[in-house]
Amino acid sequence: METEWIIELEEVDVTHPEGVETTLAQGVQWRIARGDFWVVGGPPGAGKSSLLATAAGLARPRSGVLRIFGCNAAEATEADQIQWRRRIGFVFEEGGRLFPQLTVAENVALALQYHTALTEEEIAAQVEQWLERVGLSAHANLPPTRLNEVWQQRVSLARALIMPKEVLFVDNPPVGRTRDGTWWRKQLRELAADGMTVVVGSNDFSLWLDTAKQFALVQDERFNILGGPDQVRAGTGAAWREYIMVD
Amino acid sequence: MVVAASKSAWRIYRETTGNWIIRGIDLLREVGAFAVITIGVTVTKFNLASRVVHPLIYQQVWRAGVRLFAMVAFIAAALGLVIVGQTVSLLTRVGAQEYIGTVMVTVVMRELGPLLTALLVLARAGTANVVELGTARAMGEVEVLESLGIDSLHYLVMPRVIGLAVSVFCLATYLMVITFGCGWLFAFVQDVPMTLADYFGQLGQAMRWQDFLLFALKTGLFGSIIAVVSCYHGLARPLKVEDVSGVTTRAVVEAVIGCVLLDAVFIVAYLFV
Repeated sequence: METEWIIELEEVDVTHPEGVETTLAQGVQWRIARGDFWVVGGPPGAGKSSLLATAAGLARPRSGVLRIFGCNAAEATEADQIQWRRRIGFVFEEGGRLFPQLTVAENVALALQYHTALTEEEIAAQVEQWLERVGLSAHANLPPTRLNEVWQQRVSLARALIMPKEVLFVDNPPVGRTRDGTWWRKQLRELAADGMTVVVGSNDFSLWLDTAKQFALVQDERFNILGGPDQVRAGTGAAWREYIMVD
Repeated sequence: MVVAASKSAWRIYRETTGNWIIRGIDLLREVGAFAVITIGVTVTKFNLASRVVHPLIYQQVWRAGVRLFAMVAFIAAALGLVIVGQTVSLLTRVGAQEYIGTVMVTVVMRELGPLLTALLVLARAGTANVVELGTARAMGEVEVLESLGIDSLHYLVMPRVIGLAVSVFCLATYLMVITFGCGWLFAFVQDVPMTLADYFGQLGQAMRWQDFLLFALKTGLFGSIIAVVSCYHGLARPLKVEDVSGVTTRAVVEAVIGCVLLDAVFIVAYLFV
């Protein structure tokens, strides 16, 4: 069966999404196929978040070609952009960037209210279902600032997925062998098993070795595809050990 | 020596006034482009996602209009008592009471009412806009809207432009009515021989339909200028949280200049009506 590439980066230079003129990664060659599960690692500040935002079409590459669902991002119309954004979910780091003026439930409902003609009751039912799934239905009417950052990022996951998505980017989910870290890995594993393409930005490869299929590293302005879990386990080098924390 | 001084003066002029003019033109071009895009979004997407966006318009009208009513009423009462009442009294004393209507319409309806209201709305809602949007931008909320497929101009800017335009129009109307009312009250207290019917009759005679049209247009445009300038400064450029206060000051200055320039255009327009 022919591989379906849904996101392709060719010789892309990645900058900060807010337009800072520093190049974070040069000449990125990366193709994401349907059903892939990528983990992108690298030291803090190396540009993982910017790379993920660029690949998701949220930031313009400084140069190179970015294709999302076969559409060249540089030539995309507003309609193209809206169309692909409705197919790509993005969970931001550090609390998921929830809107502080909306409640938890309103944050989750926003995309449905904006894009669909569902009744408020139908939306409320879906919001309830997603908040249940992320374990926060008891906090639906609270402002997000009342939750800690880890829970806020769970709300952000519900917000990203309340409309059907084909690709999910998750930037720096909680890691470690904690309850939250385990919860995130389980959720993403289940989503991948359901056919979702998943891309995770993480500083720790070791926890994803039994979950992810492909690994890549952003370091020293370079994007390197490492391969599958076996290649990561076999990796060597001080920087590798320092930043990636492979057991 | 003279040539060197002349060259130096020219260089200073070029580097100060010249740069200032070039920056001004650049800013005008950028804000103009932002305004045109906003108008396009407003026209094409007004009814899109109305259950999300229309409540935001009402929210802006509430924040910039209803909540500002008390302050506008206070300023209008002061204006009526201090300025209008004295003017009425003075005109009557010099036997020029037949000009009261014309003076009031020219001063309050055409000039002072709209401009004063715009400045109050700018101080209260315009600055809040810059801070809110600047912080939202700095916190990455605009990027979040994009990730959800929501047009940030439609969600963040359009409600503010419509809300502020409506608010300035309504508040200026209230300000005008209260000012006229309090003006008569002051004149009455000072025993000016003029009945309420005469006073408002003169005002009514001095007003033409063009005045109402231009009043609505002017106040609506003042509100729009405040909203566009404040939203532009909040959103158009990447900001850090520490940049927000400086940007707010710039937005206030530029919105005041914008309103005054528009006022000058309307002064010319009034010459032809």
